[in-house]
Amino acid sequence: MHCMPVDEARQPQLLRGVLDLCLLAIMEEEETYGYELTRRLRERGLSMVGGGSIYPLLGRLERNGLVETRRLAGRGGPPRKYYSPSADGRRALASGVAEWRATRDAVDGLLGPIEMEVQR
Amino acid sequence: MSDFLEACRREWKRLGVPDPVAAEMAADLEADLAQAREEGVAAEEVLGSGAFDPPGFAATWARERGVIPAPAASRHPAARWAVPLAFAAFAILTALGAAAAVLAFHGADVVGVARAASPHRLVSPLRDFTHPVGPPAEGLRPVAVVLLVVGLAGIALTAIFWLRRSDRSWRGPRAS
Repeated sequence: MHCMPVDEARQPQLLRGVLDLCLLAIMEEEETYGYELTRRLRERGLSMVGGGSIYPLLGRLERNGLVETRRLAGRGGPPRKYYSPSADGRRALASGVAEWRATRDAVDGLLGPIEMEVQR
Repeated sequence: MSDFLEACRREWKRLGVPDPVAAEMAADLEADLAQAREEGVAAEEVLGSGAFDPPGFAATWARERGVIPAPAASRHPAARWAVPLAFAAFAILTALGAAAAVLAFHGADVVGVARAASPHRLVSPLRDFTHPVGPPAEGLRPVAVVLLVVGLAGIALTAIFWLRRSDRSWRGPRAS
């Protein structure tokens, strides 16, 4: 069996389906604002969020009532919009994490045993 | 980067985003981009590919936030078909009504010719059959003809519309 080159465009696609959960998870740790969310994703190795931006996704979470927002002045800077999960957001996070784990386990069951050298 | 913000503001204005909402989004974006710049982080890391398309970025953000209407293509299918269906029904009803009126006038002409050539007694049963409530007013004949033409034109336009639409559906959307 030959080794296929790594598809560098795959990670953003994989992330796209769970990015809302990642954002809710970070907010669940601590109430935070847009840039800080981007930075924390980057610290966890999730730097390129699908070639897009988190702002539209934050807008969708807000529209769907999954986050609560308030404007706060932080670190001596200008007032910013801080996000935290709403009760619906926490429920969505819980069910989303369960779905993610089931999907991850199923994919691991298929791909986990495969050991091949990555060819670049 | 102020050019980017200005372009976003212009797009929000063009799309009709309420001023307070646009001001809030612009303020958040400005603060975030300033912090990124201080930390040496490229704008692309914050904005993704939107950094190269300010209007697209601004429109997507506003749409996802629900402060501008969704594009017409994403409306409910029933809403998209309501106007063409109403137009088609109007055209068909107009054509049918006008055709009935024109036929009634034609019937009146036949009776008139027969009456001129025959004694009244022989023609009266035919007249009673064609016009039980009396013959139509002669002045309405041009109106009926015009309505018939309008109705037929409406049916033709409706047919062209359906044919073009089904042709587009068959070929699928064109790549942009």
